[in-house]
Amino acid sequence: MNIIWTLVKKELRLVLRDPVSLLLLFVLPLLFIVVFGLFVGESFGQKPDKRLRISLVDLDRGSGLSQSEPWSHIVRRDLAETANIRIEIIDSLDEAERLIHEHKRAAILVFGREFSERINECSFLSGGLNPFHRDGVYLDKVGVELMKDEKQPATAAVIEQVAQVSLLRVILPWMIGRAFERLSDPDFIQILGDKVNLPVPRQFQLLLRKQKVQLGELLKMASGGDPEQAQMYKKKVGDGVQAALAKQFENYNLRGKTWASLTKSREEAREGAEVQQYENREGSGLLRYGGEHYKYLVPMFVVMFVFFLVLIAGWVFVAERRQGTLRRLQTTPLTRGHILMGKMIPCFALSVGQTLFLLVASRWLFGIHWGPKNWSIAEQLAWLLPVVLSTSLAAMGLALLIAAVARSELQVAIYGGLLVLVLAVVGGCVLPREMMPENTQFITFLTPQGWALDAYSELLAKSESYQPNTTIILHSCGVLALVGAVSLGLASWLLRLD
Amino acid sequence: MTAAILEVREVSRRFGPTLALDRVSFDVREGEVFGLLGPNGAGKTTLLSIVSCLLEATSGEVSLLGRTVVPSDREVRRLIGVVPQELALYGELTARENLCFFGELYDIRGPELSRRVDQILAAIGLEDKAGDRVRTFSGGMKRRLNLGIALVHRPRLLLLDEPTVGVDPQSRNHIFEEVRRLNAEGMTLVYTSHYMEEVQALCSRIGIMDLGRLAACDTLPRLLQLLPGTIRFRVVSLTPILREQLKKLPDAVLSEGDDGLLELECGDAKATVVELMRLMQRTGSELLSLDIEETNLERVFLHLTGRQLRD
Repeated sequence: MNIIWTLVKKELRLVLRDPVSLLLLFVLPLLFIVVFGLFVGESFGQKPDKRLRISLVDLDRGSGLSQSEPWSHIVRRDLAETANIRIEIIDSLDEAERLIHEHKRAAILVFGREFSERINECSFLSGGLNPFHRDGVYLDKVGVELMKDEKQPATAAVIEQVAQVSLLRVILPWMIGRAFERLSDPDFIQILGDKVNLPVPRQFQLLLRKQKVQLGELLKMASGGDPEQAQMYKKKVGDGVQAALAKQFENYNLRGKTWASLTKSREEAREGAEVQQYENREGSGLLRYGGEHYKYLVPMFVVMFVFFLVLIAGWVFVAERRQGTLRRLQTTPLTRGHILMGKMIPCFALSVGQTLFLLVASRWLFGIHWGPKNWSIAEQLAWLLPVVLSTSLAAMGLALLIAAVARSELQVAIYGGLLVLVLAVVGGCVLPREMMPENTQFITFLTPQGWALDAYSELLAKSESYQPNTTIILHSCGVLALVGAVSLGLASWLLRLD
Repeated sequence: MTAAILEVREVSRRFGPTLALDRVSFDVREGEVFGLLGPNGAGKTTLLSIVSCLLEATSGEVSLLGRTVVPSDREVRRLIGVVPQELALYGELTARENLCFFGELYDIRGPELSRRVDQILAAIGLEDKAGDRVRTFSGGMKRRLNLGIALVHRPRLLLLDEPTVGVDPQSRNHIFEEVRRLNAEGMTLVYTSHYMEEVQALCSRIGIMDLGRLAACDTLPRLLQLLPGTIRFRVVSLTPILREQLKKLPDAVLSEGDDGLLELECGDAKATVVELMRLMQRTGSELLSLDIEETNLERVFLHLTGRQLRD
């Protein structure tokens, strides 16, 4: 064991003294992941969505048409029924302010706490709130704020127009409906009765002792002075008014209070907007960028670079052979097993070290979390370690196979480079498996990279409540360990030390 | 005569159809420096590879201190130190780290290892450079370290394969001195070289190999006897009496050229020259020219291996 440790120490010392190797092993992969992530942008791994995004914060806690539903929900529903837009709900005002401040949203609609209350106050009646101006609705009057990014005025203007139209479609029918309801109100009939003077026919003039009579007086006379009867007649008149209005404007329901009801519009067959809860895709990492798409990129490139170990291990063997030290080692009391272990253990350690470094760095930079949100660091590590170790074992096996076959640095570069790149492409390290055609996705499982990515993907936190399927993870680890063991065995048999 | 430490008996090695070693047999005695000479392709490296446990003989046997040498025997390797012809060092490690690394491979650790490494660094003249990375060393310094690594475990038998190739005279001299010192301390050495003068100066016995066979193996004086020395001379007048006297010189054969050049082939050219001078004085003859071609190792080597170029 001491002898193997001597060999391991020597290899690690040689690698640590070679800044190029260190750069290749640790810094370059990380740099590559960061730069590639910046290059492909936030939408990597998702379907492109060109619909207009309306972001909103809903603080409204009041009541609208029903007790249980605030007016903001009615506006949201109206927006949701609008084609070619998507709605994004942002949880807090702070988040909205940050997004605007960082120019990540052009405009965000904020429904204030008093939004429902203000809408309820909107009325054509005197004393009612008139929210309108020439171009639409006074947002401040109804408790709505439109936060705008000054750097994106055009997009902000479009969003504002969409919001204005929706607000008009909600507020105007509400006010019209309420106004027309008043037309059948006994108080209104009383006013009407007071205002309408009708000529008294000649034969009744003697009886009434006047030539004109108010409509209200007639209703009063009809009720015989009974106030309840009078009220009932007023209601009848009111109902008559409503019936007359309904007949007169039969294409509309003037008391509808909603746009659909007012206009008696039928649902048109069109794609409504999708309502999504805002997700912070920036991650909680130091960069505060790309938390979501780096979830794809980090495993892809971690796996890809682990297999680049093939080149390094191959070079180490070929270099040792070329400089004659491999031959010299065989004149010492070392066995073939000692020499192989002395090479494999440091390469394996470097591979595991590289992976852990990239995982820790990705956690720090992009805030990538593994497993369910409630998993502690220890739990995440406990599940990541088998994946990391089995992937490194598979990489080590391939590395030794290349070292067994290649006789020079150039051959290592050609055989190893080709193998690593082809396997990376086929295995899904360049294009995620999800983006491949469905009928070709199985090909990724012909490569160790595909299995490794499968395990990493299963461990990625997909939602708050997500529980990874541990069977899939363990299955992948098993396959990787088998690949590693078989290729190590084959390589040990093929490898010539002289 | 001391006992043999290394016995090579009828060793053959075949690489496919090529017979690289053909029934080679010799002994190396304890405490001697044994030289191994041979042109390229003679089989020296194959032989050293078998002795240093890197190769297995196709037939025959090599034994070291009575123990059969086979590649699988780890213990026998502890008895052998190998100085390969090609520098086999880790350039990114320091001289001390190289020595410590190889020392640890022989299970030497702790203060004992430090002490030995210090001794070796002093012996090979690299004390001041112990902490420098080997890649910064000159060729001569690397050669010395290449030798030092083979000594760290104090082997009983040291195999040196062309240890002075490409080094400056100072380093070569340093290596010579180290070889002599080690031998004086009782170490047995097998030294292969292309440089005749090195082998002549260092080795008590020499084996000459060619085409996989051991063409000769003996002490230097005995090897030199394999080839006569030649004395070429002209006299003012070759009288019949002088010719008869010349023919009677001991251990010498006279031949006459057409142009009056006389040649005496003799076992010991120096002794024959003395006799010749006495004869000239006694007969009152006068020499016009005299050229002595003494037998040396190179002549013997070329005589045994031929002058044909080898691949």
